[in-house]
Amino acid sequence: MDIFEAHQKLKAKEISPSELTRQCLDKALKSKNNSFISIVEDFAHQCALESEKRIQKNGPQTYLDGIPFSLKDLFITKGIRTTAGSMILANYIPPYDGYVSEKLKKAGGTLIGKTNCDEFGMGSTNENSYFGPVSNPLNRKFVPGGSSGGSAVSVLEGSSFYSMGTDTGGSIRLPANFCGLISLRPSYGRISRYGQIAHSSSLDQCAPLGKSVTDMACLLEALTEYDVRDATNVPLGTMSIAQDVHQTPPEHLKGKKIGVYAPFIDACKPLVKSSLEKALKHCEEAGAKIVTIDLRHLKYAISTYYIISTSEASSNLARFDGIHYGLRESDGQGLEQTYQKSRSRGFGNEVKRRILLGTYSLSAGYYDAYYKKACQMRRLIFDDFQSAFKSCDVIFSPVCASTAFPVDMSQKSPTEMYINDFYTVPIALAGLPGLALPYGKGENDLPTGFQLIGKPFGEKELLKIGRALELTY
Amino acid sequence: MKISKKDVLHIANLAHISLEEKEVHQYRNDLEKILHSIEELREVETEHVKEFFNPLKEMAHLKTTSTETQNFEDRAQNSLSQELVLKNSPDAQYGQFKLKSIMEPESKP
Repeated sequence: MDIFEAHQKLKAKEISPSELTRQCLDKALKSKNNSFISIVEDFAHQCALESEKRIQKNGPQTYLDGIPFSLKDLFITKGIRTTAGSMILANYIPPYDGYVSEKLKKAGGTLIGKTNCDEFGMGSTNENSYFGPVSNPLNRKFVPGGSSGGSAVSVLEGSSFYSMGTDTGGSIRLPANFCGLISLRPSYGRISRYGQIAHSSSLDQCAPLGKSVTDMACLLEALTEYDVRDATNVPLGTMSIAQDVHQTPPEHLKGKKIGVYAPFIDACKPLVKSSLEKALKHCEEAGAKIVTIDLRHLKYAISTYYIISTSEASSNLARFDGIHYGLRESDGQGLEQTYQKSRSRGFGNEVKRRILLGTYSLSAGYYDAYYKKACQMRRLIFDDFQSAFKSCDVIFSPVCASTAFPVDMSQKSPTEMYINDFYTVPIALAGLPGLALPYGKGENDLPTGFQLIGKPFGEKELLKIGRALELTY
Repeated sequence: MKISKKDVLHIANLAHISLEEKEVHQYRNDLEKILHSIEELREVETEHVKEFFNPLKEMAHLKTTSTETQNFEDRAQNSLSQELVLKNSPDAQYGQFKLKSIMEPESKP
């Protein structure tokens, strides 16, 4: 049952918010997947009761009214512990609500809990969390993907209807892909990031995950009111698109041009590749036209991304110093040692590695060779996309060359891990929206799928194409 | 790209992170590997390419949509109370953050 269906049932009074909440809480509390860092039982019951009163009187006020959801633990929630999956924030209780929490509360949503994630969103397996790894309920020998792994698993196990995650370089699309779910990375600047713990400021985006394309539209509708508190939020106004997207007919695909860069598909594992080819054939049968595009600079996206994201992370994470909030190790000799010891103990291995790499890229003597070079590469990648969009409406791309990785993959060398983000980082660098859709099975009988990439701020068309495609399955 | 132990300690110091001997060795290895793979960027000629720092500025040039952002109006607003702000501090006293002394007290003659 997706958001839209649950909404219809609530409207018809076939189910009640309390029933939905009880079902979700029950699953969350019994879950063996470690998908949650905090479960907020009492708060959830209270939200459900308020929804119930509203619905009995006037019916649901929004699509989200009375529907249980979860939030990645990178979103600041007033009075509810927010850890970023890190020891350094293990006991942090925010005194305010961030944009996402505030808006979903206002829309009548019922928060079930805060989901597990890779520390500060740094990872693609969800094995880099201070609170332990998240299990993939589809097969425990494989990871659920990261960094929003807890969010994906919470939806998969039925402990929430949808989840809000984040996507810096693929952190929402990869878990959706590995778990057979749907997610959207919106355009850079579309949703306010006020109260979203920063990882990399020119890349981070708040990103919904759910079970249908309509879910994505419902969430954009709830989360696109302009917010002056985020200076990168573009004042385009609320997108009232849920009905429009939901009612898109399959014929919408007729004549749409879908751009494909063949080397990308050829580089995938055999079963993933054959699924992607089937999906493309499917698009053609539905009336879309496949056009060849050239994205030659995208092969440099990983190197570009890891310089830029770590540089920005080294700066953003400088705020964790053990003084204002978070862990403090005070056995140091002076202030300097307090900083050093607090950070060394509070941050995990991957976070420290990225801080060190970023500090190196930005340090005197290396700036031109690394950071500046990466920013120049970023333009070439952006230009590739702009040229491609001259001949197509959306771009079709894999999300990952393989299905979910085996557990303990994070024990591998960092370069072996980073390469997994090959298909997800390019659009993050270019600021473009991407819709990850499941399609068939790949290696180890695990889900696979693809992403459709849209033009800047082209979410509406992207979702309409996605919805039309979903209807033809 | 070769990274020395001294380089690692220097970067760690800049980043306010203290490392144990074992970690220095590990991070040195990791950084060398990562920097080695990043070397591939040298293949691409970028001398006349302008840096791209943030997508918003670039999307504005496309003129398909206005991506101009706005700034806060500069006026006093309600903010969090001192009590709330200090609640998460590891150590606070007299309504202030408490930390280790930065300067040594003057030694008595």
